[in-house]
Amino acid sequence: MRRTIIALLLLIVLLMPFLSSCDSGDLQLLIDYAKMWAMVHGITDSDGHIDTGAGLRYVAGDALGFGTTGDKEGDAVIDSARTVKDIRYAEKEAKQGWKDLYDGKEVATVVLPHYNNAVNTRDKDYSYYNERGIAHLMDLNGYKSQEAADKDFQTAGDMTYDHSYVYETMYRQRAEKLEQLVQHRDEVYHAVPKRLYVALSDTYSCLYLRTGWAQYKQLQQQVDTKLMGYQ
Amino acid sequence: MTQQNAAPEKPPKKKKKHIVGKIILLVIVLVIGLGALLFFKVPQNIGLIKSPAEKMFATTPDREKAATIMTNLQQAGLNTTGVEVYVMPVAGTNDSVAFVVLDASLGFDISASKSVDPVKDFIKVISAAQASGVNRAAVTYFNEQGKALITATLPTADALAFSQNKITAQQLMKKVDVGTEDTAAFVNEVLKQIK
Repeated sequence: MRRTIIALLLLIVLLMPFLSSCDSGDLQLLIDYAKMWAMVHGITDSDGHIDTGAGLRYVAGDALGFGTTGDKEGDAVIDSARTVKDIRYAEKEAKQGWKDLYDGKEVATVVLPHYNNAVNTRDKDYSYYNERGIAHLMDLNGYKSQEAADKDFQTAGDMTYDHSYVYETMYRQRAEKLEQLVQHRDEVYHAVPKRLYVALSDTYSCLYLRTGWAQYKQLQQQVDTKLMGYQ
Repeated sequence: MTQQNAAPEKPPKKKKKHIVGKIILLVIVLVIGLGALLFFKVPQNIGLIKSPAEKMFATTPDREKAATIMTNLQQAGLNTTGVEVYVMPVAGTNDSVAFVVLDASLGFDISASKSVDPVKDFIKVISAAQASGVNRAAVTYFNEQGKALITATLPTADALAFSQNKITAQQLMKKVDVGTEDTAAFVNEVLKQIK
């Protein structure tokens, strides 16, 4: 926020002489809103002339750290560029990891590095632990991969346990991802690793215990029936 | 004898003056250095401390709400190429913030919109999100090099009041806050647009 107003003053100073020459409709619309913004914040008058005194007060206040939206969330949002970049990067990595897992690429060397990047960037996001856990399950020859999957699922559970709705959402997200992968493996490879069904059965069981919804019990029974074929 | 005794007493006074001067200079340099570190958010940028935003928006995005907003943007005729939506729950509250990313490096172009008034339509979509617990919206524009240039934010309650004609555009603009992280890149972009 501190550097905000300085930049905006520059914008207004730079744009003012050119505003009337702008002929792109949508851009003109944005400029009109920017002009209105400057006016209602006292940086310019209704004719578009800069109020130097108000501008200087704004700049000085901002530079000294008094710049605020008057709202904690608003201030955080204004300073959120780095957070948004992190979210985008982690999402991109997780998406790529999931795509590679779908495409049957080597888990340890191709898939997991993407998920590790996502987890390292945003370590409070349970969805990345859920997905990395599923990736570990698919690392059939990996050393202690089942333990690694259990650990990731445990972490996702621990970070959401205190909030009932989030806890359920976390399990639903895990179930959804497992369902997608089971269906895909079945359709493309005609072979689903037993571990995926075990994890899916456990997830439905947890969802049933949390919600009491009969549909989860039924889904668990369907998966357990499939599991019987492995014995 | 008296003159001989008084003469050697002067030099230490001069030395003391020098030391005091150096200390004052050092303090000034330290204060300026510390100010610059804080001003350019060096501790946050090197990961030494977490910014309020990092703490506040650390949890998992609400992907269902984000998908709904994206669908509504498309239905309103807005160009969603290069647009991403992230709904972030605010830690420790029931609030959430919708971050709308407009990324020119991924093909975002405001003039490609089918809407007559994209700003108004955007505000309408955002105001509808209030019903699902989104209490603030933010728009961040990334330029063709993928740099975050500017962020504008407003409470969805004000967006709703505007879309219901309860407040004017001027009153709405009063509620909009704007910020930038990269002033130089921002000014360059403005100059480019002017050209």
